Amino acid sequence: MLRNSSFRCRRAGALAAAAAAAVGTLTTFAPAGAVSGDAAADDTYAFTARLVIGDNLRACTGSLVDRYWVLTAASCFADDPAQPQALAGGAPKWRTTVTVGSKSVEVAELAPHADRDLVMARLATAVDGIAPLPLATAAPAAGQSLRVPGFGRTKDEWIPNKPHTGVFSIGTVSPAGIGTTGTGGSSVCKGDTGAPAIREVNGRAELVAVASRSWQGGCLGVPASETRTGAYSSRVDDLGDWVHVLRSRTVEVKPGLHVQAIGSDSRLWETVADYKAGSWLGSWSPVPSGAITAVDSVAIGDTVHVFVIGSDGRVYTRDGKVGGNWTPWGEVPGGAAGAKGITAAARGNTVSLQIIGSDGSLHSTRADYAAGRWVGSWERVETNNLKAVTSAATADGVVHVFVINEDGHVYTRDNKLDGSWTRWGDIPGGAADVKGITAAARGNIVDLQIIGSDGSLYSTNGNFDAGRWDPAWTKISENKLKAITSSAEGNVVHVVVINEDDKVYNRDADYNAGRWTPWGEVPGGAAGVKAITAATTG
Amino acid sequence: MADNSTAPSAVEDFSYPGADTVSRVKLLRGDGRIRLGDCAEPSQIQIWTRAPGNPDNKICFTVAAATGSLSLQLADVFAVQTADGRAVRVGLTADGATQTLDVAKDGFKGVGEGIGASPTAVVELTVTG
Repeated sequence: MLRNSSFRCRRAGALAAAAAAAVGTLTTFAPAGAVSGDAAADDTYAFTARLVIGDNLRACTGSLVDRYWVLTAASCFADDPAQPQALAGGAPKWRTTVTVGSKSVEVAELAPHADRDLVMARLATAVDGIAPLPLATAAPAAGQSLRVPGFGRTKDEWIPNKPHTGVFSIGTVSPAGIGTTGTGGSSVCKGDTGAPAIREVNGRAELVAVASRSWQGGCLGVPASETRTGAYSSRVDDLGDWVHVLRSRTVEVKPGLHVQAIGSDSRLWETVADYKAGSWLGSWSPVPSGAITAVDSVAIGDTVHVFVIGSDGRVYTRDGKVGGNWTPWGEVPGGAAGAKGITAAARGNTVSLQIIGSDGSLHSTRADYAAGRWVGSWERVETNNLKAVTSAATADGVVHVFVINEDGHVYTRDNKLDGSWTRWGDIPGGAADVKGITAAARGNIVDLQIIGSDGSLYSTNGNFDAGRWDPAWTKISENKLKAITSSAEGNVVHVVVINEDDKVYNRDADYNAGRWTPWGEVPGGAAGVKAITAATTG
Repeated sequence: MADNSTAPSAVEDFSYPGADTVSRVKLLRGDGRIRLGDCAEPSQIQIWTRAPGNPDNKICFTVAAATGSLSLQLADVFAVQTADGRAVRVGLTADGATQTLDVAKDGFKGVGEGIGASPTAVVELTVTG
């Protein structure tokens, strides 16, 4: 990016002075204080990325718009830079390195825009610690000024070590792009294609357009006869959806119904259904883990907490906040060993975690996620010989634990707000030889489903406002189910099962519509599934 | 007002800036760290040549870093000299064959006609330290 004196601009102080001087000549264009306020900080344009394509084949500038994505110009990667629309998506033809700040990562994939000189470059590894540049949503207008930081040539530098910035005034605005003119001796030079054209509002930078073409007047190596400092940039202010859809692909933790399954390899797999968008992710993603024998999960707000029993019998957990990444696995403090079953329920910011210990008895611990700590020990609630356990917390803060006892019957007890336990009681309806159980709470109603002795799905519910259980189990469907889990989302209970074919199916108890939806296989082709859990982010 | 959409691409292609305005040496491509300099100013690489357009029989290059590369075409070179603590590997062609010559920091080596061999051209400069 050409400045009046690029040599002086190597020093941060000089850069600030030069930028301030440029602004001084621009008072008719720039909102007062909008540009001059932030040029002083050395990392003001930290999102500016240098791209080196091939073995010094080409170089461009770009901007970090997501920890996994850089937005730049398609012409940087097209066989003929004059034909950017010919660029195909997929892995880049030439090995490409992106440098943002002190971090250098390779480009794994190119997603070109259909008809503008734009490409979203997906990074092989995320760049953290640098705030991505948000897209502008307001259209550019003639007469406005934009700042462009770029790694391109200057008046006298070929490959500068640092980006230089210039201010450009908008001359023309078309549906797909803008024409700008450099001010104060600024020009878009070779190496600046892909650079962000930034609007600065209240000190906050937003991406309006991406540099594409330039007359390059004043740039190193350009004849003095060329005096035009005009450039053309592709608009992005209207491409929020395009960028959003691509970005959402690399968000690890997505909003919605999270289903985690123990696969035939005894490892954990995950998929997500976004009920608001009406679609499943469509694939199962492997979760880095050792061998696992049991899994349960619960969501507190936008964070999913997953709990597993490893093949070593110990209890591990990890968290995923929507829009972010999963934490690494950590062991739940308390030294549980030989655990056989696990269930978690959330009341407020507290997770109440129950396991069936090696002795067959119910053991309990809890974590206060607001304070960020576990109790640190397991309490044996009573000596029993349990086969399965599930739980749900009602709106009143009571955690209701349901078990299949060694006699094949379903029993329940409550962990009250003060931490004390009620005694075991049985669930009305007399279900025997129960093979699977799951509970979910809607307000103060607990929906309880079981796999009956015949493998079919049965349902009942307890209304804790009215203080009573449905007196009988209702058979929902004739099945041969192997495992069952559920998660409530508002007034809908999502039931997810492993069928006799060891595949994962789902149906919902929709209390808004007063009906069960039909069974559908969870897309993604999971087979040989051993266990499942579901949790819905709020 | 022109919207500049017919302006040329501003993708850096690593072709030597303004090479077509230099006649005494054909400058091709580089990583930006080796630049044609003025022999009256400090420079890190000096190449002695009988090529036309070089009345002092010398062309000088500045080097901005401990690495750098430049491809070029300079005929009838008879010596390569380094200064200011830079070492360079020189790509040479003579009689259709290519070879490299390492010149240590602050070194001087005869090349081609300078050591009684065939006329030799310099085609590549690589900074090695």
